[in-house]
Amino acid sequence: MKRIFKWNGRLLLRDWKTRLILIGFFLFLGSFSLLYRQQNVVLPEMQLRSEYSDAHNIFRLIPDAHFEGELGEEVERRLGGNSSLIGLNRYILTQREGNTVEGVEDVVSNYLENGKQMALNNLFLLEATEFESHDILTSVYLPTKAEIKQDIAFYDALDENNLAIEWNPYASSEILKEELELFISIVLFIFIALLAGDHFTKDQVNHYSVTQGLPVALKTTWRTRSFILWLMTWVSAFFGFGVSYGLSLFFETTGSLSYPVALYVNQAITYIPLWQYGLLLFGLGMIVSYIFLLIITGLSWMIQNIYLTLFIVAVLVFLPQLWTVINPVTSWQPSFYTEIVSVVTGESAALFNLPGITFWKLPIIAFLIWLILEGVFHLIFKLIPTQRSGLKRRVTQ
Amino acid sequence: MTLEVKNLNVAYGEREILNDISFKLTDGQIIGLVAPNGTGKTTLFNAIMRFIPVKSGQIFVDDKEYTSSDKDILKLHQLITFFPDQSDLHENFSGTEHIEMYAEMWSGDKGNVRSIINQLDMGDYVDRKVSTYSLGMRQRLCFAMIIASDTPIMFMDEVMNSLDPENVSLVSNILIELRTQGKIIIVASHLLDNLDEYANKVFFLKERQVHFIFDHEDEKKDYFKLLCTEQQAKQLQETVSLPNKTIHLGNNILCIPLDKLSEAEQLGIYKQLRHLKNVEITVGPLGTSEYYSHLYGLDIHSYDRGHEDEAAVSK
Repeated sequence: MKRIFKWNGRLLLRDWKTRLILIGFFLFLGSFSLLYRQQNVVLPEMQLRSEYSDAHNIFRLIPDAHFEGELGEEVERRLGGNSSLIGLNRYILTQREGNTVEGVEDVVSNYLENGKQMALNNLFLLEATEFESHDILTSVYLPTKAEIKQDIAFYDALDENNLAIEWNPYASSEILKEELELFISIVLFIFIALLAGDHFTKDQVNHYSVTQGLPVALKTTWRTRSFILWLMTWVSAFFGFGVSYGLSLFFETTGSLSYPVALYVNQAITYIPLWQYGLLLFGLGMIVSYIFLLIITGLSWMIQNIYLTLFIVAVLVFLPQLWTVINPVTSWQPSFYTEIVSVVTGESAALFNLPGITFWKLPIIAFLIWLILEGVFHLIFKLIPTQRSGLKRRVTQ
Repeated sequence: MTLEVKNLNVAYGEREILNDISFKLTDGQIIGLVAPNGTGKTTLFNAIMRFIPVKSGQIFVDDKEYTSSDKDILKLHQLITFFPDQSDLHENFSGTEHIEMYAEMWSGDKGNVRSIINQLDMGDYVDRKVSTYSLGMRQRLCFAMIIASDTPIMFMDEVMNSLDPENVSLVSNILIELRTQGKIIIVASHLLDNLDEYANKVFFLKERQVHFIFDHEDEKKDYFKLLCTEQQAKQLQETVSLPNKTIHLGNNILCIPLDKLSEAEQLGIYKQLRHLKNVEITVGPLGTSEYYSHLYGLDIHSYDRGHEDEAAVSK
C-alpha cells in the first residue's frame, strides 16, 4: 500500500495542473482576509440605525387613538422603550469598548441587557393581539417569535461566555467564519472538480501503456488517488486558512473564537462557539468532499472528458435547487446535504419546509452513499475503456 | 513456468481480429511475433493481458487458468509485463524514477535499478527528465522498466523501434540473458534478421491465426539465395532445371533448395549464375525475413528499385 501511495502521490504532485490549482487555492484562501477587507459590509451600528428608523416610523403608521387605553399605553411604552434601547446600543457600538461604555454604565446600561429587554418587549408586542394596529406591528416592525427567541439565546450565549458584542465585522474571527462558509459552500466543490476531473483520463490518454498493466487493482488506485487529492485539498486549505487568519490578526481586531454562532439542531436554533462551528463545518466538508472526490475520480476514468465530468459535478452540487420546484419527500434526500452551511444554519430546513434536514444526518447519508459508490464502481471497473471513450465488458460472449 | 493460450478469439464488433489462437510456451524461451502492420500482434498481447474484450478463449499460466475476473487479472498482471509505449512515459519524471516505479510496483525491490541502468548504458542521461530524451533513449528506458519489473513473462511490442544498431545489439544480448534466467519473452518486431539472433521460435500471424511457426531448433535445409532481377530469374529458369521446392520471393530472391541437388547440379547452377551480371548469391538456411517475404508476398529486397534507371542514366 505504501508504494501505491508513494507513486500515485508523486504522479499527482508532479502534474503542473495539480500544482497550479493547489497554489491558486492556497493563495485564494490565504489572501481572503485581505480581499474581504475591501468589501463593503453592513456594520452592526448601521444595522441598528436602520432599526432605529423603523422604530420611529412605526409611531407614524399607527393612529394616535390606538395608543389609548391600558393596552395601547403599554404598547406605546414598549415601542418607545425599544426606540430608546436601540439608541443606547447604537451608542455602545460606536464607542467600541465592549458591552458598555466606561463611566456612563448607569446611563447606557449594557448591550446585552438592552438587547434582551428589546426582545422581551417584542415578545409582549407579538402577543398583544388585542391591540388595534397589531397587524401593522407584525407586518412592518416585529420579527417572528422564533427570531426573537433566537436573539435571546444569542445574548444569553454571549453572557455565559462573558463576551462582548462584536462591533467589527472585519474582526479576525468574523472573517474566519465568512471564509469558512464561502469555502464549504461552493469554492470547495469547484476546486476539487478542477483538481480531480481528469486524473484517470490523463492516464488513459497520455500514459496508457505505462499505467494500464500495473499490478494494482483499479479500485485501489481509485481510492488511493481520491484520498491523496482529498489530503492535498485539505492541507492546502488549512495552510490557506492559517495564513489568512494570521494576516487578519495583524491588520484587524482579533474578535473571539468563542463567539456564538447559530446551529440548527433538534428543530431549533442553538448557539455554539465559533471554534466548534468551524470544526463542524470542516468535518462535514471533509466528508462531503471525499464522497465528491470518489465520484469525480471515478467519472474521470469512465468519461475521459473533463468538461463532461465538471458538468456532472455542477449538476450534483446544484441539485438541491430542484427541490425548490418539486416537493421533496424526505429530509434523508442526499442532495440536500451538499449545501452544508444551509443545513447547519437551518436555512435548508426552512426553505424546503422539512424540519428534519439537520447536520447529524450528513455522516449517515455519506456513509450510505459511500457504500453505493463502492458497489457501482466495483461494477464499472470490471469494464474496459475503449479508445473511443466507451466502456466494454471484458468478455464479449 | 508455462504460458498457454487456448482457442483465443478476438473481434471488434463484426470484425474478427484473431481466430482460434492456441500455443503453449515453456520457460527460457524467446518467441518472435511477426506479421505486417495491423494484423493483430498488439491485439494478441492486449487480449492475453485482458486489456481488451476477448470473445472466447482461455489463458493459462503454469496450468492455472486466469479468467476475466478482477482477481485473476490482477494476478496475471503480477506475472506478465507489457512493454510500454515511449510516448506514454511521464515527461516530468526522470528515467530512474520510471525504472524505480516498475521495480517497486512488481517486485517491491529497487536494489537492481542501478545495475540495470549500467547494463543498458543509460547512466549519462537517466537522471534527467524524460522530456529531454531522444527516441532511442526513451526506448531503452522502456526496456529497462520491463527488466526492472522482473516478471517471469514479458511481452515486448516493437522493442527495437528507434534503436541504433549498437543498441539493437545491446538489447538483443540482454534478451538472451533474460532467456537464460528462465523468462518467457514474446517479442513483436519488424527487425526480422535480428529476431533470428535470439528467438527460439518465430510465430507468423496471417489470416487471424498463427499461420506458421519457424522453429530455430528444427533441422534446417540449405538454399542458394540469389538476389536478382525478375528477368534474370526467368533467364535462369529457362537454362537450368530448378527443383520443385524453389521459392521465388517477391520476384527478387530466388531460393533454391540444395538438399535434393547433387554436387554436380549445384555446380551447374553456379556456372549459369556466372553468366548473369550483378547477381548476389548466398548459401544458407532460410531466415525469418525470407519466410516473411514468402508468406506475405512482399518485395522486401527490392533489387530493381531504381537500379535499372541508374544504369540507364550512367550509360
